[in-house]
Amino acid sequence: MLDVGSFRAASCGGMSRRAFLRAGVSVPAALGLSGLAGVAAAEPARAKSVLVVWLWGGPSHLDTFDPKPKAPQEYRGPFATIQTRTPGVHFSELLPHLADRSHLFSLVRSNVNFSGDHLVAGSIGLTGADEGPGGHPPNFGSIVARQRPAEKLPTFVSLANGAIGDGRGPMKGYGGGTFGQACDPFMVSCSPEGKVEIPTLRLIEGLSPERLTDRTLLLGEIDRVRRAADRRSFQQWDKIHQRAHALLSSSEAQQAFDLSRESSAMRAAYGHTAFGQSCLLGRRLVEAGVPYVQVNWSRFVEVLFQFSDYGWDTHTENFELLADWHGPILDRALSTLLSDLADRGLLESTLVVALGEFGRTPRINEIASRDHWPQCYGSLWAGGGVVPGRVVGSSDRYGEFPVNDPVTPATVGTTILELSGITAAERAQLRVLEQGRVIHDLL
Amino acid sequence: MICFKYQTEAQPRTPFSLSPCLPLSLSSFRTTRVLVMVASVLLTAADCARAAEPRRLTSDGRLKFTPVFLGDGFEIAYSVHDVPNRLTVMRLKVADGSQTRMFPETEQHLLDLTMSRNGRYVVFGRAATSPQLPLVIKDTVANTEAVYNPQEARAGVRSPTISPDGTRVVFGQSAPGGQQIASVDMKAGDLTFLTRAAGINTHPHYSPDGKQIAFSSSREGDFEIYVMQADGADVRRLTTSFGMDSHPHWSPDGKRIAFTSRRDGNYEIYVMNADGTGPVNLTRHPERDDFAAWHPSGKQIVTVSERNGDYDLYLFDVPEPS
Repeated sequence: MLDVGSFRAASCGGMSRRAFLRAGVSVPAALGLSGLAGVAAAEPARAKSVLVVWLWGGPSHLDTFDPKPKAPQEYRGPFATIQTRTPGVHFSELLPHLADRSHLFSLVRSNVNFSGDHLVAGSIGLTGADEGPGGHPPNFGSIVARQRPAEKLPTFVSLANGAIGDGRGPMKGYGGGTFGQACDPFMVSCSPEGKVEIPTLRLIEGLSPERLTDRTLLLGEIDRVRRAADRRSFQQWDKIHQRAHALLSSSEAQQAFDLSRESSAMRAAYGHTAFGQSCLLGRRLVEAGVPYVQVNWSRFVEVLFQFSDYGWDTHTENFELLADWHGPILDRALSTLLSDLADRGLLESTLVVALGEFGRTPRINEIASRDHWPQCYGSLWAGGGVVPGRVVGSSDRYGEFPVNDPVTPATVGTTILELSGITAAERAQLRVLEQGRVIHDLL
Repeated sequence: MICFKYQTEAQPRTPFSLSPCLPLSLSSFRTTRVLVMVASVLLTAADCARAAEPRRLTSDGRLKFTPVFLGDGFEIAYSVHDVPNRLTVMRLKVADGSQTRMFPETEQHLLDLTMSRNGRYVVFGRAATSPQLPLVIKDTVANTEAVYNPQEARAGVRSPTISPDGTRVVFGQSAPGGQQIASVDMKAGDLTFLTRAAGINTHPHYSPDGKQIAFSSSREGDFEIYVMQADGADVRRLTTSFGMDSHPHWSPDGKRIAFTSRRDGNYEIYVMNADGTGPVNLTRHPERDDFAAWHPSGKQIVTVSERNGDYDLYLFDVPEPS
């Protein structure tokens, strides 16, 4: 069976035409963006790179960054709260390393979204708006990709084992949207062992960036694809392949994607999980000059479905899953990422934003867990012009609604773009996030 | 049937071996007591020269959960994040480190496996195509499978423990009003709730005499360790520390309880007396130690411990209580 970067859709006999086309749709054409670049920024970017840590599935804000220890039992959950380095700011006990590094970041505790559906909320969360008559708006990364194309490297890289979505299908807001496939992210997966693959070009098992340059290997595969697909489909795949080949064959790209160049101690510090190694790869890409990286916690929102890969959608067993699994892994990887960026002097020029598409019900549900809650949740912001040690907005005593300063996905996106040097004038010209405002309290 | 060579300091770690797979049958139960003694001697002899350093039993580094010794203590079953994206249950031979998948045919997530003392019943959670986490009770003698599906569509069952007499399975179940401790018989019927308390009540584990159950509960704040009679009566709190105390596991002689604690700001394995006194930090490591399970000898504990970012099984010697 072939995984074509979207969802498993092929037979053992080869790739179906539908799957083939789907591969084309999900493949990055945010690769070579020459000719797509728009108006240059008038002001220099404070963030040379953006690294979005996408906690797909909706983490419980009460059990992570916004605990409510004084709330009644049916709200607060079973975890103790711990003091962070920031006076008066407490986290769940599941995040001790992040608590110890709170001097590196600020928090927003009043995020809101407009849908309780993963695919809709996820798309809004990554684009700032719902689908309109003209199609779906572009991912924030696609806007950066269009305006700030990188040379010799992909501009917008999304790290996951295929197009992110849930059991129903992929999320529309993952890529270029109305900007077209040319601004889709370049999808790369990273295993717990640090093995890097390109799921969208996974016509050859184990195709890695370095193997992409193995012309002999690829020629055979290209011939096979040519025989299996119709002319148009083959041309589409070949175009994508050639772009990827051109881009990833550069020495810069080869080095950026090679985690074996990291010391074993550094790789251990991030943790040998797919998320941990993806965070490390994200740091390497930022270091190499990739303007926009989205590190996805998982490909699917679901935790323990037959197909799933342990997302944050903890409708059942929320507390045991967070204690046994999500909490320790997030704490280790994200705290190391922030420290590593800071130690290398990269945090100042790299904007890190960690968030999901929504939070989870503050009131514990009828099966002792938590459901979707877009009315209020939180996000973590660091570097790239963000002043650390601040808390912007607050939730009410039970974490149900913002008390002040609700921060919409459009506000998140506008702030990201503003710090990336994409001005209001550019946004207006592109017709994206025209009404968005910047979270000035972070800056 | 069973052959092994005594492992000495001069020999490599692998020479002692059992028959390919100890049968899950009553026949193994007859020799259990002898085997436990032998296994204990072998493991202790092999490890005594290494002072208090734990023995690393696996080396793949993948995410692991809830190890448990099987029957006589020569083997361990545990859940592991397998490839691709699946929790499977592995069966590890302690002596030589060889491993096999317990249910290689399944494509579902399997977790929290435990086995009855006599090896007849194997119980675990199984996640398939819904958020529901049913409990599976396999009778290896009758070759039957009973499944307990919680009534609520999204409810799940975690941390099953089998009564020492092999007549009931006790587990944590999501339920209205909070997660509760419940039990079913070996046919997955006769559901009985043992707790009806606020908060999250989970991680039950039977005392070796079957008269008591230790469990974790957040009824009074964060997770603490409690014990109750096997029928749910006479609940007593054993720990009072700040931070999470969870996953209690009763020693085979019934005198001590191992558990996970974050009282020092990190996941560590502690051992305390069964009345809650004298807690001792067994693991003392800045990385995570979790999911303690006693060897049947009562002299060692297996854990899932994170070392240098890798999750592996480790075997710790347990000091005699002072």
